[in-house]
Amino acid sequence: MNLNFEIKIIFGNDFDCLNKILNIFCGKGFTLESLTTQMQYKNNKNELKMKVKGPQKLLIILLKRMDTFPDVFNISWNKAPAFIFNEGLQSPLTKKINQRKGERNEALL
Amino acid sequence: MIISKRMSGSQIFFECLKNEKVKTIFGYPGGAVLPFYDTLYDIKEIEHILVRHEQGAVHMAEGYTRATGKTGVVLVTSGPGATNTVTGITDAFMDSVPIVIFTGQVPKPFLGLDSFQEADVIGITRPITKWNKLVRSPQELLEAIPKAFEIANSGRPGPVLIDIPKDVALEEFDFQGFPARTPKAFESKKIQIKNQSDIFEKVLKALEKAKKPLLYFGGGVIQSQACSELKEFVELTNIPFTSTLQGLGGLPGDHPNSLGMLGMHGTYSSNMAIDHCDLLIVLGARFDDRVTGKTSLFSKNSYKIHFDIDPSNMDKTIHCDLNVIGDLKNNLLKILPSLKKNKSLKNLNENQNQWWSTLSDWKQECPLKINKKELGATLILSELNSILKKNKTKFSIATDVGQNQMWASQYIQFQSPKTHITSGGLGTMGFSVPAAIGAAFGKKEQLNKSEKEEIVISISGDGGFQMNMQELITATTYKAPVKFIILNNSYLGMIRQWQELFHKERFSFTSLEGANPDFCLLAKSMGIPSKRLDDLKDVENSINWVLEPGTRLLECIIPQEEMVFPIIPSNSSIKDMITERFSKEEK
Repeated sequence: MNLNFEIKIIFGNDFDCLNKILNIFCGKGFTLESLTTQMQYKNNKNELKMKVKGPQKLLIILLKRMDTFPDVFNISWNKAPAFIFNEGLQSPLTKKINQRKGERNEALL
Repeated sequence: MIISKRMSGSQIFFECLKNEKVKTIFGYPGGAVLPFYDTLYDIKEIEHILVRHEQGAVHMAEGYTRATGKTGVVLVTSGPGATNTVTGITDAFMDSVPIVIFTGQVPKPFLGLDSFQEADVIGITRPITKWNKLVRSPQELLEAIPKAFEIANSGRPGPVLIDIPKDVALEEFDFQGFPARTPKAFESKKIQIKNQSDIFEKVLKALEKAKKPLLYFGGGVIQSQACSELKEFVELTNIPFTSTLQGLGGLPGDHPNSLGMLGMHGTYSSNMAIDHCDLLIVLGARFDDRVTGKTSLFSKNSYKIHFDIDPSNMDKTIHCDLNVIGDLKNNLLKILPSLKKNKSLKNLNENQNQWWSTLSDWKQECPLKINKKELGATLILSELNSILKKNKTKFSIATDVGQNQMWASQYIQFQSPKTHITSGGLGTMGFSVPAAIGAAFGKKEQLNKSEKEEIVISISGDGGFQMNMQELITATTYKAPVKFIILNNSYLGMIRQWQELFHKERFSFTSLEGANPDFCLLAKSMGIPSKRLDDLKDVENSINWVLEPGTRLLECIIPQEEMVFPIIPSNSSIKDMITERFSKEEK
């Protein structure tokens, strides 16, 4: 299922990091709807906002992978298919999802 | 008082390597790395292995790392030197091998001008490295090199690349010692999941209730050095286990609880166990498509618990009921005390009686077959296994990709971690020859004077062997005592097997019959004693011959028709498993 996602990424202050972030979406069937970057002068970091459309499950995997990049400091988004998320991403949703997942696990067991 | 010393970038470079306790580097000189090689001329603490192709250098570094756990280091020149490393870097990326690659680059004023031997190596390697960086000053090296080693080894390990322009290597500055290592941004990336005690309780509960539990582990067990903890876990719970290709050696292959490898060419019993278990505990594995086959049918009825260090592996292809992220060794160490105290473990063992009886039936129903009537790979490799076992020989085996790789994984019982070296994720033909040489250097470096040298064997097919056979001369030059075994069926065997089974025997461009070099003569030309095994009666003698001290090559002539069984066709389930060759009528 293809969904629209709005993603915000705080990343290091150089082209290499920006390129690495954008590169991860290349050749995987995503459409770029919009993209803006802005300097966060206070932190000396950059903020990337982008709207992308694409397969949601793959997007989540890529975001988790991006979260392990040394120069990516924070990832957040406006839409999240909750059932896929669990540990690992720096999202305020994470805790709630873990709890839900835990309850469901018990039922399954 | 701070004493400073005037040093060039290349001198700083080697000081940094020494600081990282690097003993061996694999490399190939060129114009852009001339300053480094000039400095290296006077350095005695680091051994430089001159390869014959940069791809060989990276695979050697991989072999070195996989055999020792130490970070492999590669030094190559700009442009083609750097682009030749791409396959090896991707291989290391896919299999989580921590290596650091240093590439020369044209001087900064020439960057972006299509200069001689210029390539955008940072751009090319960005998706296949954990981190890469173009260094712009010698001072930057002081930070970049420790960071490279740290990133390569932290979290899920992988390759890191540093690109160094020639003028940076030549530039001098006042070196005042290494900066103190302070917490860096990337260090916060180390996975730290807190309050997992409730998760561990769930694991214990699941174990208590399970009647048909199964443990499936991968290379992560070896990477996190959790093998002894895993063994304790298995012995406390008496749980049967199966391993991925990369996990082989994580636990002894002849352990009574072992079902062998799982997946496309896994044993019948391990795949049946996956299909029928009610609890599947997955440790340091990533549900690779060669393991799962059709994901919707993979172990449908089990409660799945997944331990891994990489968050992006969680629920990637198979949805698990419980995900435990973090270092496997740490997590096992947290579980083991509760497991030891748990009184219901007794019930767990009782619960499993019926399960063990079923597993035993499956083992007998369809064991791995050895054709003793004709000279073939199953016979040669099972004989090799018996001889190694009988002589209690310590060994490591690097395999190539294809039939030889699968036969080796089926018929050799790997007894300890870091003894099975193979290209699993990328499936790189041409891997085994340089990887075995790299492993031999690593083993030699680790050897205590009192110890007997460990035997390192390279097993490849005739196709893969030819992809990096130039490195034989590297083995000769540095007296790397590798035993090269070629299983020669004059075909690209695995592709031929698929053409026979699934493409109506249309053997399109897979035959190498009459188009192979004389491997024995080739070895002779590179100063390596060689022998051809083409008679059933000579198997034992030939294997004993190749295992004698020194570098040796044994070419084994095997039938073109010999296939790897069992096989589960791609994107299929256990129900589609083929266990033996069909007759023409059955087809």
